[in-house]
Amino acid sequence: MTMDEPAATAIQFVTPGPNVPGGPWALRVSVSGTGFDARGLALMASVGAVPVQGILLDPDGSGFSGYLASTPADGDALAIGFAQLTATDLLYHPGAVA
Amino acid sequence: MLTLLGLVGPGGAPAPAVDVMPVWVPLELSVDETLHTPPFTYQVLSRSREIAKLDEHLALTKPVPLTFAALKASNLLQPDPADATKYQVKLTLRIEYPALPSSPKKLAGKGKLPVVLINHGHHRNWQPTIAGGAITAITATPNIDGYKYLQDALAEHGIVSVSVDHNFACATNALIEMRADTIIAALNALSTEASSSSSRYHGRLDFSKIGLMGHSRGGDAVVRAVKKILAEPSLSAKFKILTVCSLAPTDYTGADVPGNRMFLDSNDVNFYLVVYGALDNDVFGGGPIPIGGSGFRHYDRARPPKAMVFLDNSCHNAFNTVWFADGNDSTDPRLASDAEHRSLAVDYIGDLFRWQLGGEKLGARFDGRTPNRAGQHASFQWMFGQALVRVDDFENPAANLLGGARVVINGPSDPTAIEDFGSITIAGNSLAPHTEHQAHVLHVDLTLSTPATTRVLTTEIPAANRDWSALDTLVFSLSGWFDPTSAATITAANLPRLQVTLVDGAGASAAVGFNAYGASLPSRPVFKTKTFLVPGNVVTWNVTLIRLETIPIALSSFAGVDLTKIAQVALDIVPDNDTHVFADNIHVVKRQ
Repeated sequence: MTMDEPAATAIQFVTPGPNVPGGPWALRVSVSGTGFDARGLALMASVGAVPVQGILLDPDGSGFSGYLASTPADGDALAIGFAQLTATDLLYHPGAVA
Repeated sequence: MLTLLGLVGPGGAPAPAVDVMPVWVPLELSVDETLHTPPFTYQVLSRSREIAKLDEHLALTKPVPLTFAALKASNLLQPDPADATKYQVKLTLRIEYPALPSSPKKLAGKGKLPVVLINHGHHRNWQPTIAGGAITAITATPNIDGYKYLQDALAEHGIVSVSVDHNFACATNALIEMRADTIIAALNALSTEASSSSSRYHGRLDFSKIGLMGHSRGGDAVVRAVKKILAEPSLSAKFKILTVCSLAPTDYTGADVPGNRMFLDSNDVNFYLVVYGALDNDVFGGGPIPIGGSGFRHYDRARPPKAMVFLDNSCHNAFNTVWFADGNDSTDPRLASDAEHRSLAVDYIGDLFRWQLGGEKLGARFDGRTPNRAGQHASFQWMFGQALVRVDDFENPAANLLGGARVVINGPSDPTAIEDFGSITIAGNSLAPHTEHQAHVLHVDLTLSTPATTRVLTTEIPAANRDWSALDTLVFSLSGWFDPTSAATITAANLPRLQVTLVDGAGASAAVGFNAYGASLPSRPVFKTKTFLVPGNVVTWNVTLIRLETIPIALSSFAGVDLTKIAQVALDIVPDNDTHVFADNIHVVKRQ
C-alpha cells in the first residue's frame, strides 16, 4: 500500500442506467490507472468544472467510477487526487460516450 | 475492577475468549460524499436496499464488476427473506469477553459487563478472485482482527468488546452514514443475541454502559452513531453510549458550513477522547483542500468533558495490525514501533473504557500526569474533572461562557485580537495549512515592538460563579508561532509566554507566570513534510501542525486571593518575547 497520489491512464464515459443511486445523472465515468487505494482520505475527481460524485473505488485499486450531474464541455480534462486535484491528459469528448 | 465485577473467583483470573459471530442485517447502501469545492458540503446522495440499485452502482467496478450474485455466492450478501428485491448484509462481529480457563465458552462472573464496539475505518475490503474473466470467490479482508491486542486488554479488565465488520461500507466507499448505520446494526444484533436464553450473552451485556471507538473514517462514524441513537427514541431507550474515542479520525463534515458540522453536544456522552499521531501520513490534516480534516476539529467542536492525545511519533495504520501488515502509511525514522503503537492504544483507549465504563480511577492518563508505558511524548488538550467550570473559549464575541464581560486590550503597536486560528496570517503566511484547530483564539503579536502594556485580556466572573473553593486547577490552552520551515526553525522559536492573574472581589490579586507553570511549556510542534508523486512531478508539502496545549495551574499557586470570591481572570504577556502568542480555553476544574 502506498500513500502516493493516484495516476489515471484511461477513461470511459457511460450513459447512466435507470437504477443508479442518487440520480438523475448526466453521465457515469469509469477511470483506470494505479494508486486508487482504500484509505482514510477520500478520492476527489472532476471533469472540467463538474465534480465526480458518488465515487466508488475498484477493489484492486486500479481505478474508480462515479457520476457527473451535468455534461462537461468538449475537451474538459479529468482531474484527480486524494489531497489536491491534479489535471490529467484524459479528456471528455461527447462522441465517445458509450 | 475485576473483583468489583465478581470476575475473580475460585477458578482464577479471567482470560480473553473469542467468539466470531456472523449476523445478517438490513443495511442500506448510503452513498455519501463531501464536495471538494466550497462550501465543502457533506451530503448523502441516496439510501437504498434494492438489489437492482446495488447492482447498477457496482456495475463499473473493475476488472470484473462485483454483482449481488457474486457476493451472494460468497455468503456476503443474501436476499432479504421478507422481500426478495432487497438484500441483507452479513456482518461479522469479532467478540472478546472475559472467561475462566475452565469454561471458555461462558462469560466469567455473574453480573452485566460493559460493552465496547470497535470500528475500523476505510481499507482494503471485499477482494474478488478472478479466473477466466469471472469472479470465482470474494474474500473479506479481516479488518476486524486488527484490534485483537486491544480487545485482549479490555477482556482482561472485564469489558466485552466487539470489533465490527465495516467491509460493506468500505466496498462502497462510504464516508460516515453507512458506517454509523453499521454500528447501530451491530448493537441491535447484539441486543437480539443477548435476549436469547440460549446465548452465552444472555443477561450479561450492559447496554447502559457502552463505549465506542472508531478508527479513521470510523472515528467520524462513532460521533454520527451517537447522534443517530440519541435522535431515535427506540434506540436511545435501549442503548446508552457513555464514552466515545475517535482514533486518527477523518472529519468529513468539518469543512462544511458551521451549521452542518457534526459535533458531540455537552450531554451526548460523558467523555470524548481523540487520539491522533503527528506522523499520520493518511489523515494528515493538511493540504490545499480541507475536506478530510483531522481529530483537532472533532476535539474543538466537542462540548462534553474531553481530552485529545496528540502523539509525536505515531502514524495511521499501525494501530490496526492488519493494516500495518498490508503496508504502513509512514516510514519516518522517528516513528514509534508497531508494538509501541499497540501499547499506546491500550494505554489511552483501553484506559478510557476502564475509566469511563469500569469505574477505575484512571483520569490522570488523560491530562498527562500518568505517562504512557511506551515512553512516547504526547501533547495533551483536556477539559474535564470531578467538577468543571468553563470560563471562556473565545467563541462568543459578546461575552465569556459564564456571561461575564471580556476585554481584549489591544495596544497600538502590539496588536491583540480574538481571531479564527486558521485564518491568522503571519509574515504573509497563512496558518491554515499549519493548524487543524477549528477555534477562535486570543492572538497577541509581540514581534512589532515592545508593548506599552503587558495586560492583554481580562474576563470577568459573574457573582454566581465566583466561589472556586471546591476547585483546584485553572487550565488554559497555549500555543505560539513556531516557524515550521524546518525542525531547526521550530527549535529556534521563542516559546509563547503568558502570566495568569486572578483578582478577587476585594481587589486582591495573584499572578502565576511561566516559571511556575512550566518554563518548557508548551511542547514544540513536530516538523513534518509530505512528499508524493503526481504525474511528472514530485510534490512536497510542509504539513507541520501547530497545536494548542493545555496548561494546568494549581489554584493554590495563586497565594493571597480569596478563592471563594474570584472576580476576574487576566492574562499578561512577557515583554521582549519576540513571537506570536495564541491562548484559548480558560477553565477551572477539580482534577480527578
